[in-house]
Amino acid sequence: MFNDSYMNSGIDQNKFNRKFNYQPIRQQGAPPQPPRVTPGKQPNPHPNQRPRNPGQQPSNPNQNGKNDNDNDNNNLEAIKQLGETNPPDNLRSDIHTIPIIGQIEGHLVLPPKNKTTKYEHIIPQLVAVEENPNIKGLMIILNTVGGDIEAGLAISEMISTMSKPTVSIVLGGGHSIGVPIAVATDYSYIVATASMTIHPIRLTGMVIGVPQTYEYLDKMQDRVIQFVKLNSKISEEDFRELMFKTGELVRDVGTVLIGKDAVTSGIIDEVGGLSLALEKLRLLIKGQEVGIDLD
Amino acid sequence: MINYSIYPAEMVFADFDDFELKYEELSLEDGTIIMVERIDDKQVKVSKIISSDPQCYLRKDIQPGTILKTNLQIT
Repeated sequence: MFNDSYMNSGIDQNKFNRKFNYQPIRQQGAPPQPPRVTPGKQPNPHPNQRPRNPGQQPSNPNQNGKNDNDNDNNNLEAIKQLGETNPPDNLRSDIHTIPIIGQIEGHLVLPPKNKTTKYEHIIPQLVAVEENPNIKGLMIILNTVGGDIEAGLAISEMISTMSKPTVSIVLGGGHSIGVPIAVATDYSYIVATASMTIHPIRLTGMVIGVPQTYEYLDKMQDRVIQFVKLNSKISEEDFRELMFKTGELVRDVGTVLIGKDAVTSGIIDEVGGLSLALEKLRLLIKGQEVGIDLD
Repeated sequence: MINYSIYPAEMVFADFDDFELKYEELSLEDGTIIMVERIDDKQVKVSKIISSDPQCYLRKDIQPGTILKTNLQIT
């Protein structure tokens, strides 16, 4: 993890917000007010979100010059509180996207410093996506450093056995157990700068509650290898070779594949970003509707 | 559990024995049970949804991480 943040770098946050057009969502004509919760009423499921009226357009702060700064400040507050801008309401998309970031958390709750994706959140969502008739396709956004092998494989198997079209994009990194998740979709993309580290399960790694024998770890490793082999174009021999390569990683065996290397090795289907991935997903959805497998 | 990650286990599991989790279960009006972490007397953070209805897991208002006010019934 390398920290290359713009925070504390002297950038004027107000200018930053204006530049990227973060606009507060508020009813037209309503005076700027913090959200109020009336005691005794129905609990507000979005206590930190501003009241809004989906039928009306959000007001444009640039139409009214004197509120410009005020709006920016209020909005900044919302960003500080939530860490994100509020998504627009009532925009229903027929695709669903699931980001898988940080550590993949499985049977053990990891210490709070870790950013994790918990499998008990992802797996039922995958069931819901498969079952919901309004959702036509699924996009998986991956930026993970690995994690619980069982949780990762469980998510991978769920994705690969879905009937709805699925596409994945590897951004930043899709390392270790991120590799089977990336290949589990019908079609996979990697952005040019993303990397994937393929390495064996470390004997020195955290092993809790399972026999720590070489045979056991070897079997676990085989599960990963078999899954990748079955769901991508790479052969078992080539994948093993990447996994046990020496000399590339300083203190470990394994390989780092960056962008197109992951495609030439046969693990990922194509180098590309969001627009390509969305286009592909739409194509797969259309293909499924007319009964052609475009995968 | 086997941790298969590029991060060393010492880093991932640092302070593993030191943190404590206190979960409560809340029952929503429609019967959905959610597991929450208490922030203070009036607020809780949704940690997990417990339901056999898959669509519950796509509900926006109780997505994990959402902070709820609690004048809800505690089961």
